[in-house]
Amino acid sequence: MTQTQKKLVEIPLLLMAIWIFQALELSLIKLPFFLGVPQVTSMIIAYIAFSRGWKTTTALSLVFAILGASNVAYPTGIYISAHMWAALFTKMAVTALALEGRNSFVLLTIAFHFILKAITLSLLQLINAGPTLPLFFSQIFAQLIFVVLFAYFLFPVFIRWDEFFDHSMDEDSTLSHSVGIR
Amino acid sequence: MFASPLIPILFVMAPDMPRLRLYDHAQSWIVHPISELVTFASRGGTSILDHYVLLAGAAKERDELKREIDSLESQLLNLQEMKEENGRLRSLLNLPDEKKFESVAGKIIAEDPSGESLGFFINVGSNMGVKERMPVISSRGVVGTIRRTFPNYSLFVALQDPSHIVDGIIVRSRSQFVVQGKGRSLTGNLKYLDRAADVKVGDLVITSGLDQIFPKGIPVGFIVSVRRPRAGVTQNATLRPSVDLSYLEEVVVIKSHQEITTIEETL
Repeated sequence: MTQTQKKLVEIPLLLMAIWIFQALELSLIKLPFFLGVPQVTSMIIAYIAFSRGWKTTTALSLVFAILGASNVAYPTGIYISAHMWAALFTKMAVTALALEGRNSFVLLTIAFHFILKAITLSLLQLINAGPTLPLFFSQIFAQLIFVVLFAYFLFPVFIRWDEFFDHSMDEDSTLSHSVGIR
Repeated sequence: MFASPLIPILFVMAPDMPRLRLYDHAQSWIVHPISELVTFASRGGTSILDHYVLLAGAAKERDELKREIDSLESQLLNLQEMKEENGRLRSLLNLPDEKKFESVAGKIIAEDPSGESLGFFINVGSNMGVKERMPVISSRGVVGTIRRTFPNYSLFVALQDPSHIVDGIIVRSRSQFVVQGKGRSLTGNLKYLDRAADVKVGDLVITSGLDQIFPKGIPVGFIVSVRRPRAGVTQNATLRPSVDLSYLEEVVVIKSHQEITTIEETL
């Protein structure tokens, strides 16, 4: 497949993958007692913050936050801004600590999850919505197991995707070729 | 790079920004049917397991149900007599007739994945006349309010969600207040409840109709606790909603309701 063909195929393929994941998130992958699940778009944004430069992180986190906010009941703007801020804070951590590899990505995704939830709850309180604090904490910790599993198993998928579509060669990519999946 | 944090601020300033309708609709054509299929498939699997594999205790349950039916049949006879008597008295007093709803039934196909809200997707949408802010009820009482609509699907927020409020009254004492969700599936809060109001544990709460969303007289729940602080003009009470979200599968969206239909109008 040529580079142009790959570029043409990538976006529809990505959309289809996200939509199938979202369908499963809505109906199948869920915690009991309405505790929700970490969304796949959040995982992608965490990976973007991990693997891309500032400009791309800002632009792509906006795009994926919009894609992820299409199925939420509360105002969309809150979710979009929470995702973007979480991505930027995570990017700061990546830049400061020079993180690489799968284990670092898992830890970073956990941090992203906590930052995202904290910002979301703070913003939801402004409009008198969102869960109470005890429920919020039980939700964060209950979702943690999914966050770790998703981050661990999706990381190789993300790496392979980048390799297939030659994103590791991008000007803005911060992935080193020696990083690999480990 | 320095402008990056400003973009999210724009979204906070306009949290209820116009949604990307085109994208929402496009993904709704794919995401929601798949999730509907998955939900019904998983429910079907559970149903087969319950009905054909786990039959232990079915005979005992059947006998209990037969006894319950006998008891309910006698209650039904009494109620029919009371209904006829009520109709006769209503016509004598020229009181308004029963409520009339224009409604559409839907099945719950999915939950809001974020977990922050108690939101649920149902398989009826704007193509069936469903609009935002329409009330959602079930045979047991108030369920929630429509928050978003797609062509064939809608998203409603449940009564138990903190962002959901409904105006209610106590059947026994007619005390009026606002019922707000507590974010947990089993409880709701009573707000602006007058300190002098007569409220007791076990009281039935129904909709008052004053919020202009829910028609009057739909069960909301039962009072489970009442607490009067030492000072203040209000008292605190907690309500257990009459609808348990964990077992909810079908709901009805009320598209329009006509509260007052006098006997003359009916004739």
